[in-house]
Amino acid sequence: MKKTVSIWEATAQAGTSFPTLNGSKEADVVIIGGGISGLSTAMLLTEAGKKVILLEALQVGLGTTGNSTGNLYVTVDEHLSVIKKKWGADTMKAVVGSRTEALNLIEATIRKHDLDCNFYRTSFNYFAEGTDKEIDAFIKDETDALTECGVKVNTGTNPGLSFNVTNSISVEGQAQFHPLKYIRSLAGKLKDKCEIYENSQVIDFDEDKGIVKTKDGSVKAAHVIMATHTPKGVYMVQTVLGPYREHGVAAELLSGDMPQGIFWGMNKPKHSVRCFNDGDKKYVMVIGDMYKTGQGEDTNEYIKKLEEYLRFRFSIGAITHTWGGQQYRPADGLPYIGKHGDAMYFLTGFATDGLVYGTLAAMIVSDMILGRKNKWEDTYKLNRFTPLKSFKEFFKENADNFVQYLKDTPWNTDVDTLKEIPAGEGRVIEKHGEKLAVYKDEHGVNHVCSAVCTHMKCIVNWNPAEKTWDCPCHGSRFKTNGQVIEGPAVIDLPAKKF
Amino acid sequence: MNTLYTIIGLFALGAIIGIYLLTLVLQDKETPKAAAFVHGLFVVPAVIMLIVYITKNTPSPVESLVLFIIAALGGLVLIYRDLTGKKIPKWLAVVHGLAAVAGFAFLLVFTFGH
Ligand SMILES: Cc1cc2nc3c(=O)[nH]c(=O)nc-3n(C[C@H](O)[C@H](O)[C@H](O)COP(=O)(O)OP(=O)(O)OC[C@H]3O[C@@H](n4cnc5c(N)ncnc54)[C@H](O)[C@@H]3O)c2cc1C
Ligand code: FES
Repeated sequence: MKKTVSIWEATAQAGTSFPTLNGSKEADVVIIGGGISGLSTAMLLTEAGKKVILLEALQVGLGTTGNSTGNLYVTVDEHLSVIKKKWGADTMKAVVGSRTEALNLIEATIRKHDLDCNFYRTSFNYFAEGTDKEIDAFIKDETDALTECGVKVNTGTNPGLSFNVTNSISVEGQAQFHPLKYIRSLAGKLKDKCEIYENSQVIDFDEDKGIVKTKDGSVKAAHVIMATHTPKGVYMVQTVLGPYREHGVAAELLSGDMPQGIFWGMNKPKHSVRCFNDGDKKYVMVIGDMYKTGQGEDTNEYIKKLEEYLRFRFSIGAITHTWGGQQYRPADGLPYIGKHGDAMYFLTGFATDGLVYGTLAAMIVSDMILGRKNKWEDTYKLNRFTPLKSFKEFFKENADNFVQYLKDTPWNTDVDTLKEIPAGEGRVIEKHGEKLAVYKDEHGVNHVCSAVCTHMKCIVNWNPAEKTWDCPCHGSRFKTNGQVIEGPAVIDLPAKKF
Repeated sequence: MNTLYTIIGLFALGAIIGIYLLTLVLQDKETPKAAAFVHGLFVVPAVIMLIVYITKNTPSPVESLVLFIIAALGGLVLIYRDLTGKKIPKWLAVVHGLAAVAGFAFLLVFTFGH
C-alpha cells in the first residue's frame, strides 16, 4: 500500500523541474503559490502582457490541487439551497453563473493549449442510500434551487451506481479531469511566457513595498498575489475560515462497474466517489468524512473507514493510494477574493469547490490588476462584513481556537518520556517548561522541534496517517523536521535539542 | 473591606502565574497559553472590581489603580505580540511585572495600613 500519495501524483506525467529563485528580480506581478489559483492567474496575466513571476514552495500542483478529486461542477459543497437561504436568489444565481464561466475557461484552456489531462464532460449526481425526512427535504430544496438557477435537473432512483441507491439528483454538462496533469501541462505551456520557480518558499514579505523574499532571492512587484490557499501570516480573514481535512482512498476495481461522473452521497458523513481510468486499469476512489485539521482522533481510522466504505460497495483489490487534502470553509458560505492593502490580493475560502473557484478567483483578480471591472467581483469581495451570515461559524471556529489555547497547560503533554514514543510515531513532550514535538523514526532516532505553531502559538498535534504535525487552530501543517507544508504559518517549527 | 480582600486574593493568584510566565519569557521560552489566559482571567476582574470600589469609596487606592492600568496595557501589548509571532521585549515584561507589583504593594498598604 502506497502511503499518502494521491492517485493523481502516482499517475501524472513526470514531475516539473523549475529552477529555484536566486538573486533579486522585478516583475509586474509576483504570484505566491503554484496551485490552480496561482497558475490560472499567471496564465491570464501573461496573456494580457504582464511580466509575471510565480514562486512555489514545493512543486507546482502538489498542494491541495494535486490532492483533490478532480471534479468540476457549477453547484457548491455548501449546497445552493443553503446559499439561497443565507444570501438570496440573486447571489445563488451569481454563484452558478460565475462558476459556469470558470468551468468553461478550464475547458477552453485545455482545448487551446491541447493539455493532456483526461478532461471530459459528464454528469454531477447526488445519491442517497436510504432516505429520511432530512434527505427528502434536501432533495426538494436542492432541486428547486438548481432549477431556479436555470440548471436542468433529473431526479430519480439509481443514476447507474452498482450498489443500492434510493434517490438521486442528476445534472448533465459538468466535468472531470486529472488535476495534476492539468496543472503540470499548463505550467509547461507557461514556462516560456512567465518565470516559474519551484522549491522557492516565500519566508517574508513587505506588503507595502511589494517585496517577497525566499531563502536565496527576492522579487519586487507592483502586485503580490497570495495564491497559497489561505493567506500566509496573521490576518482577520483567518477568523472566518475553518480548516478541515479529508482523506482519499483509491483501489483497482476487480469486477462490476463504476460509471463516469461526479457522485456525492447525501447521507452523513458526506462521501464523494468517482472512477479514474489509467490505461487499462480502472480505479475507484472515495474522498470524505472531514474533520477539523489537527483534531482528528487517529487519522488512520479515517482511512480505514474509507476503505471499508469502498469494500462494502465495490469489488476492489488492495488499496493502492491514500492521501489527505485540506479545505478552508468560509463562515458565510462564499469565498473571499480581492485586494488587501495596497499591493496584495487574497484568494481563499474555497471549501471543496476550489478547482472551479480557484479559476474564478484568477479571473477576478487578474481583471482587478488589469483595471477591468469583473462582474462577479462584488459577490466574493474580500472585505465584506456579514455578521448575521457568518456568526454561527465564526463563533464555532474561534471558540474552538480558544479551547485549544486553554489546553496548552504546563502539564498537558502526550507522553512524559521519550521511551513512550513508538517508532514511526510523534508525540508532544515537555522539557524544562517547553513543549517539544518529537518524532521517533523507524530507526529509533528522535527528530525534535518546537511544538508551538509559528502562526499564533497553538500546540501542534501528531497526524499518524500523514506523519505530520498539524495545528488545531488555523490548519498549519509541518513536516517531522518542522518545515511548513501548508496553512497560514510562514516560518518552520524551530529545531530543538532534547 | 471584603471587596478589597477579594481583589487582593485575585491579584495574588494572578501574580503567582505572572511570576511563572515572566521566568519563561526571560529564558526566551514559549509561555503555555492557558497560563497566560488564566493570568488574565484573574487580574481583569480584579482591575474592574478595583475601579468599582474606587468610584464608590473615599479614600480609595487610586495610585494602585493607575499602576494596575499601566500593567494591564503592558499585558495587552505582550499577549498581542506573543500571539502574532512578534518578539516579546523582555524589558516590557519586566515593566509590566514591576508596575503590577507596585500596584499590589500600594493596595496592601491602603488595605492594611488603614
Ligand atoms: C480532499 C479534497 C478534495 C477536493 N476536491 C475538489 C474537487 O473535486 N473539485 C473542486 O473544485 N475542488 C476540490 N477541492 C478543493 C480544491 O482542491 C482546492 O480548493 C484548490 O485546489 C485550491 O487551489 P489553490 O491553488 O488555491 O491552492 P493549492 O493547490 O493548495 O496551491 C497553493 C500552493 O501554494 C504553495 N505555497 C504555500 N505556501 C507557500 C509559500 N510560503 N511560498 C511559496 N509557495 C507556497 C503550496 O505549496 C501550494 O502548491 C478539494 C479539496 C479537498 C481537500
Ligand atoms: S495555524 Fe494558527 S496557530 Fe497554528
